[in-house]
Amino acid sequence: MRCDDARGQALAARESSSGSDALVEAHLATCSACRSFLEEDAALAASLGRLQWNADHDDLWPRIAPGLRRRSGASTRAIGALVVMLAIGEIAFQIDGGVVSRLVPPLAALAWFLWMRVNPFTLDPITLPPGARHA
Amino acid sequence: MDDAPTIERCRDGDAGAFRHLVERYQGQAVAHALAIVGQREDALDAVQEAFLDAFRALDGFDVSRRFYPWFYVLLRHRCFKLLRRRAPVAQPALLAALTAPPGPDRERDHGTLEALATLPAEDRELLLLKHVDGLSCRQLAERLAIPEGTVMSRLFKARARLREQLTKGDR
Repeated sequence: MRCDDARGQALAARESSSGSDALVEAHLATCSACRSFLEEDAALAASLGRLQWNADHDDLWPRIAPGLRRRSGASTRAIGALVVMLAIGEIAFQIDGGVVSRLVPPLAALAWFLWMRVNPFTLDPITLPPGARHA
Repeated sequence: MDDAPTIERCRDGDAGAFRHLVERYQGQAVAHALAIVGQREDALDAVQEAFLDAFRALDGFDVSRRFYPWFYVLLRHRCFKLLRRRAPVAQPALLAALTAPPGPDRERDHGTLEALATLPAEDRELLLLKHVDGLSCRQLAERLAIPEGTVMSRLFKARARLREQLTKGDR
């Protein structure tokens, strides 16, 4: 068995808390370099395990609260309702809004962008990353 | 502590209830973000944006699950997005996020911490979640949305790079 294979299998066995197989054990019994490697790795893992997070932190609520109000959705619903009402007016009552009605959607998008500082054409802030969808 | 009632209140439009979630998890979130982005102001920005993302995505959250692991996915997404936009920087702030406790191994642990600060963000994140937070490989796989085997191989490589940095430091 090669040293790399023995080390990989021994580390995997350690992570999964299962015993190493006989071939790995036989290799380790005769290879001091691999034994030393595994001891160093265990010491490093122990050193990492002793580190602690610092407890001090800022209060982020004052930074977050205004964003919640901006993104609460009421403005989005109001803009959406206005656009839909204009569209219904044009289709159902054959009102010719002309230039005005055509300008409403881009103006609404611009207002959204300026007011909420969120680009309405990007899905990124709403698209959840992998792992958050089914968590 | 059960976050489900708080989350239900947020879903009912009570933005103030969200404050409890922010206050409960902001310390942990800032530390994790700092470990990835390496600079305090960037970490605060990432946490702020992640909480706003979480607030808007709460409708899709399964209240039978724990909040923080779900939130962490949003947080790391924000952190790595921010890192992609910024030039790489030295990582002095990592030393402010973590501490080597007093004891006979303090000098060694401080060396580990300094070497950790020189590693790529992905390695740092993985090593800290595994060894400081004590997550299992299975929990890491869920949190990072990668297979368990990949977690193990990344973990071994990250520790190998850390050993390399420590050896360099000893020379």
